Amino acid sequence: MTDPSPLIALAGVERIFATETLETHALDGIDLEIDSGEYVTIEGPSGCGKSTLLSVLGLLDEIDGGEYRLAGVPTGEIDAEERARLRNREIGFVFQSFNLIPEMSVLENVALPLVYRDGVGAGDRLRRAGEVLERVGMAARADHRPNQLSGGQQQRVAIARALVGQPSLILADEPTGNLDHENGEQIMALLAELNRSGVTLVTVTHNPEYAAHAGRRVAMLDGRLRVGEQASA
Amino acid sequence: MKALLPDIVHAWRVHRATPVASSIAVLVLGVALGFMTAFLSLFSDLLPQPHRGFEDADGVATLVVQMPEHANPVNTRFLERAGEEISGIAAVAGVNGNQIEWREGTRIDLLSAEMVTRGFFDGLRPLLVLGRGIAAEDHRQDGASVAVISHALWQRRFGGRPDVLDKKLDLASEAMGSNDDETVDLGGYRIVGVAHPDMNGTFDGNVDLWLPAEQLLPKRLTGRLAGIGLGNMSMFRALARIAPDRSLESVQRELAAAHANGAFDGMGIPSDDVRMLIYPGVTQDPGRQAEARRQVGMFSLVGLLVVIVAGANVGLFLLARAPGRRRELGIRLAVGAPMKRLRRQLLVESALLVAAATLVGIVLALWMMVGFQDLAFLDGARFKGVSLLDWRVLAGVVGVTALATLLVSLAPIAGLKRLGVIGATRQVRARPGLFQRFGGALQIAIAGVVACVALGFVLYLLDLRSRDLGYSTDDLVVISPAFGGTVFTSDTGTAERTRVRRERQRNTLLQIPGVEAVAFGSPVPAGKVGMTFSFRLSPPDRPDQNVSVALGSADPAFPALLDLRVLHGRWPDAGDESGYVISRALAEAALGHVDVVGEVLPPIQGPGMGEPRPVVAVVENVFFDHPENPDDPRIYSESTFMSGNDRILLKTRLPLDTLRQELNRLIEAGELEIEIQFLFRPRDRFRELLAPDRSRLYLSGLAAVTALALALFGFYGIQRFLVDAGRREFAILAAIGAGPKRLRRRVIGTGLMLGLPGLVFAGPLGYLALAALKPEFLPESIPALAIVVFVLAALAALLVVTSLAPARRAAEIAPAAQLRED
Repeated sequence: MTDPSPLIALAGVERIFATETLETHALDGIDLEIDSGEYVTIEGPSGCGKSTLLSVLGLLDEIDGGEYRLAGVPTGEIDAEERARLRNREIGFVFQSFNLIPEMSVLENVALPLVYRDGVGAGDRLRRAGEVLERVGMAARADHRPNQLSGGQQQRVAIARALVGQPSLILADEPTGNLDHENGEQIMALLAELNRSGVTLVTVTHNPEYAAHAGRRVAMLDGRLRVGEQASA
Repeated sequence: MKALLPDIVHAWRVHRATPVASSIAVLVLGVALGFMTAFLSLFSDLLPQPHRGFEDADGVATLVVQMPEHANPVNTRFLERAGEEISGIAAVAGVNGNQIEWREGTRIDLLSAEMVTRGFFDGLRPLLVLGRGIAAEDHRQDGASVAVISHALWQRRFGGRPDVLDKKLDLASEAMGSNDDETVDLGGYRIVGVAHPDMNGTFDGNVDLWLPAEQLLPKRLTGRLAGIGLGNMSMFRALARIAPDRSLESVQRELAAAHANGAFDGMGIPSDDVRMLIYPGVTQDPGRQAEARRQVGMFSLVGLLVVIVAGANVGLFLLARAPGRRRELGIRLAVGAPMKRLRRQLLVESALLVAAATLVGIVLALWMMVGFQDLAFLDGARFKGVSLLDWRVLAGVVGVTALATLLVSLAPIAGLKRLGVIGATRQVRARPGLFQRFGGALQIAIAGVVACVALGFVLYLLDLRSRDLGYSTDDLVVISPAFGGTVFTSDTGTAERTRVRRERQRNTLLQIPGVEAVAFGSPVPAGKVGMTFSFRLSPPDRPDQNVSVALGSADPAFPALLDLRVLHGRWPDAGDESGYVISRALAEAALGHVDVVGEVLPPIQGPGMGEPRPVVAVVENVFFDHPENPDDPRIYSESTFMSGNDRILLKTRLPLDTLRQELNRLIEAGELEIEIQFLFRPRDRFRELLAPDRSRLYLSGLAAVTALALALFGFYGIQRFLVDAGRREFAILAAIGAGPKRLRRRVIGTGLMLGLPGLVFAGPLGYLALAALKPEFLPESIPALAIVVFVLAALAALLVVTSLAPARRAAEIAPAAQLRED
């Protein structure tokens, strides 16, 4: 995607969770633009809405107000199938708890997004998955099951899965949350390297040390971006 | 028991926490158990049991000359020959039931009597409480007139006093062979014995007295029958006492061999399609009982299959509840409960459910049994007194209950092995477990088999109803007069009198407004023919073989009114007795081809047939009875010695009540000299004829729908459980780009793979089940393969439909919310 307009454009985005007695504004009028190739970290205390914002960016959640444009496409006007297609082609998601499928091998887990991409045969899927595993340094464990790997190794595999579809955007929600410091450092380094290779990266973290890797730091509180949220790299 | 009490209390609490679901589980299993128990009880009741009215009752058996459709009565010559030829038979006797008048002054009582042949009392040894039985010398034609009375009659009319012996009974009876209602005075019969209360009749209950057949029956024979002689009168049902050192099977073999060697030739036994059979106990129609037993046995098996499906279903239901209870059981494990204890707890929970279902089942069974006895395909079967207290039934129910308990408890017990509080919360994907796979496959397989059987009966019934019967019953009404007696002569004067009588009756009946046409003849569609006469001829190219030929009478209006198809020749006019009209079957059997007009049939062996006549017409075969039973090869003649037994056929649209009123008016006015025994529309009777087939269809259809509903409900439960337990996985797949359609397809695909083993087994098993039902319950023409293919396709489609709701549920999972849970 070479369009000069922002890759991500949020204007007055709202997300409301309502129960019978309570209405919670998880996102309360978010305005945010992210250009292609940027590395942005969203920081904030627990419950401020960062993960909700990331879910909205990743088209995993819908908005209740405002507008979200992804690569110029108004996401509010597309149906669930098109959202899934966009997720598959343009977005890679990395979760805090890895979310690998235990019954599948490492190679199969990484190849999984390509199962939902038309025109990619089984052989091609596994070949591309192998290449990505090589890139994250996990090729030697291709035949292992996730429960045979350490946390850091599992997160590398999860990153590989996020990369296999050659997305333009990687979203990582607390990618080091379940890792020790050393592994966390390695993962953040890997993500930074991916950003340097041209992938737009948006991470959520509550660890300022890891947030310092980002080119731009955005702070959130109570569903809003804090005034003066633009932090210097 | 004390140790189990806390488990029982806890189990009650667990089930009470989900009252609706637990009640449904109890009801589902209870209905299935009730169905099976009802049929098992009927089966037990139909098992042959010794007649307690005889000494050494186990040795008394029923000897049957079995034709394809009915048991053939025998004569005394046959009984004598059987006793001589078969070494395994220690004694044999015949029984003929009848009504006898007992005249005491002006009082006349109608008693139920059994005329018994020599060997009944001294050979078969019925139990007596007083006096003696009928001795051998009493059975001579010139023997003494003696009688044995029943215990009930002794009590009722003689006060149970011992001085009843030597009292005389003045007896009278209807003459046999008379055209009028003639009564014969039989004279005084001296009471020589009183039967035990358990001997209240052999084939029929409530018999009042026993009389010597050889001595009494000749007094009743009049007219032509008087010349025939008792030895040629095939009117007895036969009982035998098996020799002490012989088995029933060995006697059966000996009988069959003797028959094959011609030991019973000339004994009044038809030679085609006859089997000599011996059955344990005393049974009026043992062939019918055996057939009823087979059918009831089949439905007992169906019931067992439904129980298995229900048990698996309830087990899966308990397993589906397992995720909600996982935390509780995991905590119990964490605080030190041994696995064995938890297994016992789950077993008690299952056992409580099954025990409740068993009670429901037994109550339902009591109600179902009464209804099932009236099933049309059990018509004619005799039930002694169905009871659940029969140890065999109770053992069966207990065994099945234990099986159901095992099935039901297997699922959650197997699930225990995958427990753990920590592990439960980390679960990403729900795979179908072994029990789910097995339970799901088993249910689908059984549902498929039962569905194949039900569809087989559906196609069979449709086929029966669409068959060409060879005639039309549109607007047809049959009057079946009370038996007018036979005229054993081929005197042309009688034929002329028959024609005159018919014309007179026709003219009278046509006066009734709405009656369009009248014909006379016998047999008629769906008519219950009381007496049949058949003769024999030998085809010229196979002189050693006999072809059975049935006789039918038909006036010239008969073929037109029934729209019979005349294949060759022309039906003769009134008074033209120059030739025979024969059926296609007779033409083919006797002469080897159909167009036999002008040819002369081989000589027919039988009274009243006269000189051979040429064939003047050949008509298409007809099915006057059940569509599976074609009419016998038949000769139609305008006037036969059966003409006195004419049925009257009317073409009319009048309601039967209106017609009956009109007929009664004519009878009372003396214009119509008949006594109406039956008045019916053959179309209505046909519905009765097909009733056994319909009831088999309804019952198997009910079982199929039940099994199918249970299987699909269980399958839905598995799918729903897998989707719920695998929410996280579906969220992950959505996150990496699987759209709603893909997710739905995944669930449906999983469902088809789950059901595939069941379909794979259902195919061959369904085919085998259909094959096993042929030819007794289904004809060979039923396309088993097509049925199986259709059922499998339908099942696969239903599996897809059943998966749609869980698939939608999977597609609607909110990924963000799901992935946030941890």
